[in-house]
Amino acid sequence: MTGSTWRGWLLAPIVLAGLLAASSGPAGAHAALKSADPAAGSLLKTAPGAVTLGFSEALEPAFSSIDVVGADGTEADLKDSAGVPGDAKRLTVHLGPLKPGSYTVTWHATSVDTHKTSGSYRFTVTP
Amino acid sequence: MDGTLPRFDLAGSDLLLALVRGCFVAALLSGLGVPFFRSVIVRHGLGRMAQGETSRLERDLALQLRVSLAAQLVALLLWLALQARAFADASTVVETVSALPRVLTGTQFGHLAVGQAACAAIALVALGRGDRLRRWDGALVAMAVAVILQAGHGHGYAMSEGVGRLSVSDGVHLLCAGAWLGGLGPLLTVLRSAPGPAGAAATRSFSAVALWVVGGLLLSAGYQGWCLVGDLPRLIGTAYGWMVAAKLLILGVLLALAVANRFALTPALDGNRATFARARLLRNVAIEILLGIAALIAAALLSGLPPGIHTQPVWPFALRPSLITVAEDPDLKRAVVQALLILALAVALPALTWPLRRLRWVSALAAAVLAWVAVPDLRLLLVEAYPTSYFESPTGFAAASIARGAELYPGQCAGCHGAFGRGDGPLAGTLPVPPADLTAGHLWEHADGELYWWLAKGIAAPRGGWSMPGFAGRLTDDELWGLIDFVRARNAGSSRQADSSWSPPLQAPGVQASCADGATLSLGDLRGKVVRLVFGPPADAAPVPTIPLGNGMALVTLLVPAADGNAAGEGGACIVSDPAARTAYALVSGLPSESIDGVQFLIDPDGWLRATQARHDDVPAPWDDPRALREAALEICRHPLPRSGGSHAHIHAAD
Repeated sequence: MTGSTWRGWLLAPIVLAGLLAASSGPAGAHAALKSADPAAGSLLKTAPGAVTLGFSEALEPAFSSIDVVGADGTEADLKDSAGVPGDAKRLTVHLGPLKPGSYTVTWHATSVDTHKTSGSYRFTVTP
Repeated sequence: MDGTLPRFDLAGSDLLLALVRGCFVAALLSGLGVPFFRSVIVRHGLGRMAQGETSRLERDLALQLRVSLAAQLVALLLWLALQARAFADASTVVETVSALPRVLTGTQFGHLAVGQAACAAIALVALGRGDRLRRWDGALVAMAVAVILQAGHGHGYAMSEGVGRLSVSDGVHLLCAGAWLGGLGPLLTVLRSAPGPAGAAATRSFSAVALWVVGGLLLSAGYQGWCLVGDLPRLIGTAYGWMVAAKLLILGVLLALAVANRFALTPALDGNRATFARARLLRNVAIEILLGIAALIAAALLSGLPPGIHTQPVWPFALRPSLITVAEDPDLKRAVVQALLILALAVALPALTWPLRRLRWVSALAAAVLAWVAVPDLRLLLVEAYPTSYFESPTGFAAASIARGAELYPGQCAGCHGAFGRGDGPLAGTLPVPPADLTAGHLWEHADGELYWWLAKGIAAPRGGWSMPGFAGRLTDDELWGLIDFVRARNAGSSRQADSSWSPPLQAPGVQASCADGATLSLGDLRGKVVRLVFGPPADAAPVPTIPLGNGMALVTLLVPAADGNAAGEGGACIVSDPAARTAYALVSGLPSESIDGVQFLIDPDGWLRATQARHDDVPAPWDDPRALREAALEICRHPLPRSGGSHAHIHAAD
C-alpha cells in the first residue's frame, strides 16, 4: 500500500471524532427530586428552619441551589445552599424566621453526570 | 401526555456540548485501542515481518496514538470550557473563564477531567518513539485509567454515589469499546500495508480477542439497559428505550460479524482461498467500523435523554398483554392453556418432520390449521390498552396527595359519581352510560395509568358523545393523580369497614415525621422496619420510639398529635404534623376524619398496611401493652405479603 493511502487511515480517529455526537457512556441522566422536607403541598404548624431535598443522583453542590420565596416575593432563605456532609444526594438551605403564609421552593440541581434539572413546589405555614 | 409517540426531549442539553463530549470520548476510545492493539493483540505477531516493515508499522501506530492524544487534549479543553459555561449559566466569555477554577477544583467533573488530562500526558511521555514494547505497555495502562475515569462522568456512578454495579458495568463497557473500536483502525492499517502472513496473524489474534470484547460490550450494554430501562413497556414506550433497543441490535450484528470473522474468515486466510477471505475480511472490518459509529451515535443520543426508569412509557398499541382475564375465570384459564399447547404443537410439528421431505407440506398444512384453531383463544391474553396504561403515579400514594384528591372530589366528581362514589350522583340519570361505582372491588383490576387516561381524556359513549368528560383541561396532572389516590384510598376504606381486611393489600399512605434531633423521616425511609402509627394522644405519656424485635428488625413508633394537640416530641418519638395524614388514614380505614384519634396502625417492612386498632372511651387497645404490641409486630414479620400484585401503588425501594 502506498504511503498516501494508508496515511488516509490516520484520519480514522479524527473522522470518528467528527462523526460522533456525544458520550459513549450509558445514560446521561438527570437528578430527579425524590424527597422533600418540608414536603410538597404540606401544611406546617411550626415554621421549618431549613429546606432539605433528596435527589436520585449525587450532586455538584458548587452548582446546585435552593431558593425559597414567600407569597409576596420576599426571599426567605439565607442563601447558604450546600450539600449535606456524608450524603452526596442531598441539598439543604437554611431559612430565616418564616411568617405564616405560602412559600415557593425552587431548586436547581446539577448532577455529577453534568446534567441539570430544576423544579419547584409550594408549602404553607399555618398560623 | 401529548400524542402517542415518545418524545425525543434533547431540549435543555446543549448540542454543541454533547458534540464536543462525544469527540473527546471518541478520541479517548481510539487512544485505548491503538496501544491495546500493539501490546496485546499483535504483541509478538509483528516478529514475522521484516525489520524495516515492522519499524514502519510501529511508527505509523505511534503516530496514530499521538494524533489521538492530541485530539483528546483539545477536545477535553473545549469540553471543560463548554461545561463550565453550562454549569455557571454563563453568557459571556469572562463569566465562563471565571467559573473555570471553581469547576476544576470544586466539582467531581473537574477532578476527573484533570485526571484524564494527566493520563493523556503520561501516555504521551511513556510512548516516546514507540519503538519498545514496554513503552506501549505504559501507554496502555495510562489510557486504561483515563477510560475508567470516564465512567465516573456517567449515570451509574451518579446514581450509586460511588463504585456500584452500574458504574463497574459502565467501565467495562467503555474499556471493551475502546479495545475493539479503537483497534479497528490499526487492524485496517496492518491488513492494507503488511504482507499476507503477518496480516493473517494479526487478524487471527484480533478476531479471537474481538469475540470476547464484543461479547463483553453486549453483556454490559444488556445489564445497563435492564437497569436503566427496566421493563418492556419502557423499552418500546420511551425514546430512551428505543435508543437502547437500537444500540443492542447494532451490538448483536457486530457480535455476529465478529463470530463470522473469527470462525469462518480468519482460518481461511491460510488456505487456498486466502485472497477472497482477505477481501471479505476487509469488507467486514469496514462494516464494523460503520456499525461502531452508529452505536456511538445511539450512545450519544442516550446521554442526552432521561433514562427509561425515570420516564413514563407511552404504550403505542391498542392492546396489551395481561393475565387479569384468565386469573378471574378458571374456564378461561383452561381455554388459554389449551390454546397454548395447540400452538406449541403447531410449532413443533414442522420442526420435527423437517428431515422427512415428503411429509413437509402435510405437516405445514396441519400446523397452519392448528394455529388457526389456537389463536382466537389466545386473544384472552390481551386487554384493551391506552397510551397511558403503563404510567405510574408520581405521588407515591402520599397522604398529601390523597388529601388533595379529597378536596377536589366533591366539586369535580360527586355530581355524577355521588358523594360516596357509588355512581348515584344527581346527574347520573342524564348520562348515556351509568357512572362507575368507585367503591366496587373491580377498581383494583385497573392500573393507575388506565384510571389516569379515563380521568384525563374521558370515556366516549357507545353511540357518540361522552359518558364521562375528560378533566385534563380543568385539572393539573398532580390533581388528577391526587383524585386517583383519593378514590383508591376511599375504596380500600369501605372494603375495610365491610370485611375488616385490606384486600387487595394496600400501601400505607406516605407521611413525613420530624424528630427531636431535627431530622425528618418519611415512611419510605423506614422500609425494612415495622412502623406503628398512633393517632391522637398515646396511651402512655412516653411511648418508646424504637423497639428492637430481634433478627435486625425493629418497631418504630410515629405519633400523629390530635388536631389541637401540641407538637412536642414526647419520649423522643417522631411526630407527623401534616393534617393530611389524618384525612388519608381516616379514609383508608373507612372512618370519618374526626374519629381517627385513638386509632393505631401497623405497617409492615414492605410498606403494606397490615392491622389497625382503636381505643374506645379510655379502654386501652391491646397494642398499648408493649408485650402484645411486640407479638403483633413479630407476627407481621413472620407473614410477609407477596411483593407483586396487591394494590396499584408502585413500591419505590427506599435508598
